[in-house]
Parts: sequence; C-alpha cells; structure tokens
Amino acid sequence: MAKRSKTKKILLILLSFFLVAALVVAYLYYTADEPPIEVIDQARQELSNAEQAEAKRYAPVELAQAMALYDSARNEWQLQNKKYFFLRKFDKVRTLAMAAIDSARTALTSSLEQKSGLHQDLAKKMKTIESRLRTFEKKYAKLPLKKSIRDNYTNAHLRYVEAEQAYLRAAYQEAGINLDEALRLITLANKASTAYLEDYFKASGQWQSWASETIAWSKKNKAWVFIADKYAHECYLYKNGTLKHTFKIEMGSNWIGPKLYKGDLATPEGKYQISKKKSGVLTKYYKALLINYPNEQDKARYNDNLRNGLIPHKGIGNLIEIHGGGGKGVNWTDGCIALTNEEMDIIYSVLPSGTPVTIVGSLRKLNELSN
Amino acid sequence: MKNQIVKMMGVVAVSAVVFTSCAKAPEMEVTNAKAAVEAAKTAEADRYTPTEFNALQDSMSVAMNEIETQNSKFALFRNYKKANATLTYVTANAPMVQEAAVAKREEAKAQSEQALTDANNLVAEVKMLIEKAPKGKEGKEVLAAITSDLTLVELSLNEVSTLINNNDFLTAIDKVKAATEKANMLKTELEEAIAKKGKR
Repeated sequence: MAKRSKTKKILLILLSFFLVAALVVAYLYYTADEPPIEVIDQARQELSNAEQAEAKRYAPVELAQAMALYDSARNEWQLQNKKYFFLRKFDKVRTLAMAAIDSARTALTSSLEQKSGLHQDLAKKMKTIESRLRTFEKKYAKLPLKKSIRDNYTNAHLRYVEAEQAYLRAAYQEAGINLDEALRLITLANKASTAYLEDYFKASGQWQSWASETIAWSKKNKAWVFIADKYAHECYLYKNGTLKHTFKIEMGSNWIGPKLYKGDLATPEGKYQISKKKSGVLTKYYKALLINYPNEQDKARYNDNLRNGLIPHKGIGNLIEIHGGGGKGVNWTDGCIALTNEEMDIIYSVLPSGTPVTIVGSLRKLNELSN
Repeated sequence: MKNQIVKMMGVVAVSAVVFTSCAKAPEMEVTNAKAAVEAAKTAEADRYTPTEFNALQDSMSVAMNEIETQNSKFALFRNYKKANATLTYVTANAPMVQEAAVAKREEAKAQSEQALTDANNLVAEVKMLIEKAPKGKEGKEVLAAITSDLTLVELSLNEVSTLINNNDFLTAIDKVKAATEKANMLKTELEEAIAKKGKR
C-alpha cells in the first residue's frame, strides 16, 4: 500500500514537472518573436510587379538591389528559423524585407518611367531620322556623291527600318540602339553632302558674274547667248538680253565641279563659244554645237593640278558639245550637254558659230536653294 | 493505474513522433520545382513567354516563403501541405511554360529562316534584273548605285544568318524585314528602268 502511494507520488511530481515545463514552453512560444510573414510576402509581390514591368530590362540596377535585399531577408529568416524558437529575432528580417519593398517599388517606378521616357524619346528620334532621310533624298540623293556618303545613307535607312520593326514589338532598347546608329549615319551623310555642296558653291559669285556678263553682252550686241545652270539642270537662251527659251539639260554623270581631265565625266564650267556646228554624218547625236573647251582658265587649272599631283596624266579632254539625243532623265554624257532632238532643232537654228556659251554651277546661291 | 499512466505516456510519445516525422520540409519537391523552372529558363521562357515565366517564378517564391513560414512554427504544428501543393503546381506548370516558349521560339526561328530565304531569293531576282537593265551610258551610274546598295543589303542578310545561328530570331526578323524593304525598292527601280527602256 505504501509502495503504491510512493509510486503515485512520484508520478504526480513528474506530471507536475511536465506541466510546468509545458507551461514554460508555451509561455516562451507565445511570447517569442513572430516572423514578418506579411512584410516578406509584400516584398515578394512588389518584386513580382517590378519584374512584370520589365525592370530587369529598364531598371536593372534598382531591381538587382531589391532582389539582393529580398534574398538577404529570406536568408536571415532561414538563419533565425534554425535557432531555438525562443532565441529567434526577426528585426533584421523585417528591416531587410521593408528595404526590399522600397527598392522594388523604386525599380517598378524607374522601369515605368524609363520605358515611357524611352518610348517618347524613340518616337521623337524616329521623327528626326525620318526627316533627315527625306532631306537627303530630296537635296542630295541625285548628286554625284562619294560611295561612302551614299553607303551611309543606305545603311541609315536599313537601320531605321530595323528600328521601326523593333519598336513595333516593343523592344525599345533594340530600337534605340538601331536608331542611334541610323542617326549617326544619316547625320554623317547629310553633313558630308552639305560640305560637298558648300565647297562647290564657293564659286557662286564667279558664276553669277559670268552669267551677268553674258546677258549684258547679249543686250549690248543684240545677239543670242546660251547659259547652262548645271545645278538646276536647265539652259537658257537669251536674245538682246531677254530670256527666250528654257530647256532641261542632261550632263556627264560626274556633273558637280568643273571638268578637270579627260574621261572624268564632268561638264566644264566657264565662258566658251560655239566653235563648230555639226549635223548629219558629222555627229551621232542628231545635231551638235561644239564649244571651245578647254579655254585658258581650264588649261591653267589643268597644269596646276597636274603639277600638284591632283589628277592623272590623261590629258585635259576636248570635244565638249551641246547635242541632241537627250531626254533620258539621267546624266549620261561624257561631259557634253544633251537636250531632246526637238529642242536641239530650235537651238541649232538660232545659235550661230561664235555664240557665247556660259556654263555655271548655279545661277542661284546655295542658301536660296536650301530655302 | 500505473499501467494506464504508462499507456497514456506511450500514446503521447508515439503521437509526438508521428507528428514530427510527418511534417518534414518538402526538399525533394523543392528540388524538382527548381529544376523545372530552370529548364523553362534554359528554353528562353523569360524571353518568349515572359508573363507566364514570371508567374512561375512568383509561385516558386510563394512556395519557398510558405516553407519558411512553417519552419518558423513549433515542430508539432508545422504543415507543409500548402507549400507542397504550390510546388506541385510549379513542377506541373513549368513544362507547359517551357513548351509554349519552345513553340514560340520555333515559330520565330521558322519565320526568320523563311524571311531570310525569301530575301535571298529577292536579291537573286534583283541581280537578274541588273543583268537585264539598260547597260548604256545612261544606265551606268544608276546601275553602279543599285549594285552598291544591293551589296549592303547582302551584307545585312549575312548578319541575319549570324543572328539566326546565335538563336537571336526576333532581331533577325527585324533585320531581314529592313533588308527586304530595301531590296524591293531596288527591284522597283530596276523594273521601271527596264520598262522605260522598252518603251523607247
């Protein structure tokens, strides 16, 4: 009986001990620090939102920072979870998760702003490039430009269309890269073309003097004169200082600049005269008016250029004519001026041998043409 | 009485063992889900099906947070059912996202290859037209310019081939479209020149 009572007593003590221990454990458990689950979940949600807004592409630094903070928060959470529950402290987890939320929001905002800004910037850039491409096509495409200039234009056009395609599929970064390259190339092409024309038009004052002198001569001598404006691709027939006819002309394919040597496919610039009239078997271009190229100025320039090694030893060239067979719509002669046969009939009938022929780069100044 | 107490304690001990052994973190499921997401990424799901891939990654994060939430609880109260369900969802859905990405990638690949073949055929057509074009003085300069432009188109198409070989199909499509547009412009220019020559 006494033994049974003793056992009962021991069990009671043990039970009491377990009960107290359980109470202590329960107390510690319920007073232990709680993990910031909601804050971490919010951080995850904010990160997901930033990723959906393509922050990886448009705000990579901010997103990387947010992800690093989020990972740190999770790592710290895991670290704390490995400790006894009553030793766990989640303050650092909370702080890191909240910082991750802030960074993810910054990444989201930054991404949206970047995207929107890029979108607007691209649209603006596309307009600029399109306008510059049109400028080139309108002002320079028909000039006998260097291959490198034309290649820059063509490559700019290719890059522009490529950028348009990327833009349409919302690949704004790729579109931006292509537009930057297109802008660089078309700017180069336009600048080089402008410089080329500006250099050419340096003789503008002399051209205008030649034309004025020729018209004055026509008035004074009550005679016909022939003036060709290369840039306008037109020729003008004056009598007694009055304009009587205007015709379209075609020239050598390398028509910008004076004729420098034989075979350069350039049409000369200067004051000449008709030295011979040809028709029938004497010309293969219906009717022709031979001019006295080269004049003294041409010869002096040729010799200077030859001395300075600027041109090949091919001779100065000759047989520059105003002839028929034109109307092809392109500059195709070896340096002569071509008109249609019908126009040539008129010219041939009114211009006698010895008629002044003045060929100029342009009768108008470059700024007038640009406007 | 003594036997009853011993039995009770035994039941409690067995229950504790049962509870703690059942609530094990789903390590295998995590490994499988991570591998499935990684496979989808390797298939460029982040590029071809970004929305679906981001959703997949987010689900993975949800599961990992749920595991950690359970890990924060007292061992007896842990329950990984929810995490398991999410991981199962990720493991099951990742191959679908992967398949969709592969399908889109293959579609882009086929599209870029077809566009390149068409563009090369167009270039061959333009070359034939250059042969037919008027060769006289009046056509010489224009033909030289067209030939030069065609060379640039061909160079661009060479870049397209490189892009296709590098699996950058979307950029290849952009480039081939630009080259095709230019080649078509050259073709029209030549056809007009040939027609003009025919009328004369």
